[in-house]
Parts: sequence; structure tokens; C-alpha cells
Amino acid sequence: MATIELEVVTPSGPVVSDDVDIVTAPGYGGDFGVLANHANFLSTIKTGELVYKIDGKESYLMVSGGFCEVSNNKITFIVESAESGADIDVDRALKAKERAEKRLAQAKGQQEKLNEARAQAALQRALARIRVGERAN
Amino acid sequence: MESLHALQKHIETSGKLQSIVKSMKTLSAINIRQYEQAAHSLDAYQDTIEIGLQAVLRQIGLPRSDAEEKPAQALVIFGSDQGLCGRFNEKLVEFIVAKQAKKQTPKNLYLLVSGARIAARLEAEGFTLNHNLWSPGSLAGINRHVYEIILSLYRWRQEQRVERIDLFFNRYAPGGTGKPTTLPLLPLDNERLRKLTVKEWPGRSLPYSAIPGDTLFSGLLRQYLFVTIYRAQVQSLASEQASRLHSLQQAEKNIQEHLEELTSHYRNVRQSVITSELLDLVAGFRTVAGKEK
Repeated sequence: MATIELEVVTPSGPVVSDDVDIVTAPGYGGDFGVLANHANFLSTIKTGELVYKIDGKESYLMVSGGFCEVSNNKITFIVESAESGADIDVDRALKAKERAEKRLAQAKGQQEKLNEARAQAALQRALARIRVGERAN
Repeated sequence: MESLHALQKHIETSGKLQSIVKSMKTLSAINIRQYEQAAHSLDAYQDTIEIGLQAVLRQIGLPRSDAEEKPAQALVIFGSDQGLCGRFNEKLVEFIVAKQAKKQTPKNLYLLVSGARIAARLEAEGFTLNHNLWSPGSLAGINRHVYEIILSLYRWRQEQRVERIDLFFNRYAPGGTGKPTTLPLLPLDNERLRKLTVKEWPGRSLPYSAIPGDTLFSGLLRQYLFVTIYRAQVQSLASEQASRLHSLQQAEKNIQEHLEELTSHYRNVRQSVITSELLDLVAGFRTVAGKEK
């Protein structure tokens, strides 16, 4: 099967650099998949689950906010952070989810708009961590 | 004259100090390496963002600039929490004072400072600090730290109409101890953006995007802000460790010299004690031998 080169880079260094069969990523406008020889493409990335397949075996990464570029049969993800399932502590993520939900319930009104946005972002991160962490276990 | 026992204690203490300094030196050298690697990977990160901006700006054109004539200004200053790093904080504060003195200080100046030591220095120079943060202790803590900074800046932009934001930090250079630098964060440099729009595209066709150009531009801008602040923080941490390494090397040299002096002094004192004991013995022997005759 034809492959595409995948590179996931965070500010602290590259996380994945491999030839893969397919990549599915959480784009701003919805999830999208990229196969080999895809047309040149740009998209922003939401916090969520990035899935890639090598020789039929799926791997999962939790990614938070970033940008993706496809060119010359290479897909590059520039993300603020990326964690593999094995690195995720699901119990801790569940507790973070509870805290974020509590904060969201408390954040009401215009003054709390920023806190609400922070809690919403924390909740998205926790949910993505739980999904990826549970797949790894 | 100090007793032999007291001298021995001094030598032991200096030896222990030397071993602590050696451990701290090793720690600094290891830390520099991780920050160097991060700085290197940030180059690839920034290059990809620039390619994205290049593609988007070709679609949507240059953003409209509606900055006020004398906008409120924010300075984001990266220093250290801990000492033992030579003039790391002092030289950055001197640089900031010189830079700000040259300019007409805006009516509203907001300061966000990362690092307790530099915060104290800035306050001593008469600056009013609006937000103090602890400096991140490791690479893993930088993400959260950068989010905190972005959030404060966002608040100031919304509530205080801060238009202009400058970063101040020590730029790391391998082998050196860091050079004070300033980097404008906002407003975006229009000339740089214009150059991006006319730069040759490194492929056969421009990439397409399923999301509106403005949204993509906002996403890229967010990434640009994130990576620029992250890079400044990493550069500052690498410089801090380099300064610390330099100071510790000096300290180790001083301790070594002090140890040599102490050891030499100890040997002299010990020799005097032995000589005096021997002389006592000889004198005693002569006295006893004289009496027997």
C-alpha cells in the first residue's frame, strides 16, 4: 500500500516521524482523513484524537491545538502538545474532567467568559486524553 | 594560628562544597542540552507556520492595521527565579532600562514578568509590575506557562486596549552566557508579512483549505504567538543555565584555589607541630642524659 510521510512536531521536539497508510485528525471543520498522494492542504487542528495506521495497526495520539499542512506526500502536524496512550494517566484525566465540568458550571456571566473558555479547553483536553488513554489500555 | 583540627574541618567543608558545585554544574549542562534541542525543534515549528501564513496571505491578502497612534504597551520579561547565575538578570534589567529610556514611555505600560529575581530587580528600578509568574522549572512546564502569558495578554488587549507587546529575554548562543534582546510580538510586522505574500511558493500548487481563510489566519496567528513566546522562554532558560554554568565554573576554580591554599597551610602547620614535638623530645633527652652524667 502507498504510504505518506507523517511528522508530528511539538515545541519540545518531534513526537512521530514515520511512513503511514492513513492519518485521521480533528480539524477545525470536523475530522478529516489523509491518504498517500493527497493534494496540498492546510487546516487548523482542534484538541482531540489523531489516529494513524502503519501496516494495518492503528496508533493514537492526543493532540491539543495546532495546524496541519499536506504537501509533496508529507503531512506535518504542528501542535502545542501530543501524548500517546501509554503516557496518559486515565484516572488523572477523569479527575481533570470532573474539575473542568465543575468550573464550567460555576462560570456564568460576562466576567467569567475567560474562565469559561479555560474550563472548556481543559474539558476538551481531558476528554481527548480519556479517549486515547482508554484505547491504549 | 589555627589548630590542625580546625584546618582539617575547613578542608573537609571546602571539599564538600566543591562536590556540590560539581553536581550543580552537571545539572546545568544537562539542562542546557534539553533547551538547546527544544530551540532547534522550534525552528522547524516556526518554518511550517510561516509556510502556512504564506499560503493564507496569498488567499486573503494583508490584514488591516488599525492600531492606535500611541497605544498602551505591554512588556513580557523573562528572567530567573533562582540566583547563582551571574549577571543574568542584572544585564537584562539594564538593557530594558536603556531601551525604555530612549523611547517616550507610553501613558499605559503593563509589565508581565516571569522570574522572581528579575521582578525584584525591576521593582528596585522603579517599574510597577502588573503580573508576576514563577519561571517554569522544566521543559514540561513551559506549555502551561505560555498559556498563562497569552491569557494575561489577551485580557490586557481586551480591557486595557494594549496594542503593542514586546518580549525581553536573554538570547542563548552556544558557549556564551546570553545576550539581552527584544522582540516585537504585536502588532505584526506588516513588512515581513508583505514579503511572505511575494515569496516564491515551494511547490507546484497552493494548498487548499476546507475552512475560511480568516479562520485559518486566526489559527496560524495563535500558533505564531504561542511559538514566539515559547521560543523566548526556552532561549531565556538556556541562557540562564549557561550563565549558571559559567558562574559555577568560576566558583569551582575559586574553591580549588582555596583548597590548595588550605592544604598547603595545613601541611606547614602540621610540619611545625611535628618539628616542635621532635625538638621537645631532643631537649628532654639531652636534659635527662646530662643529669645521668
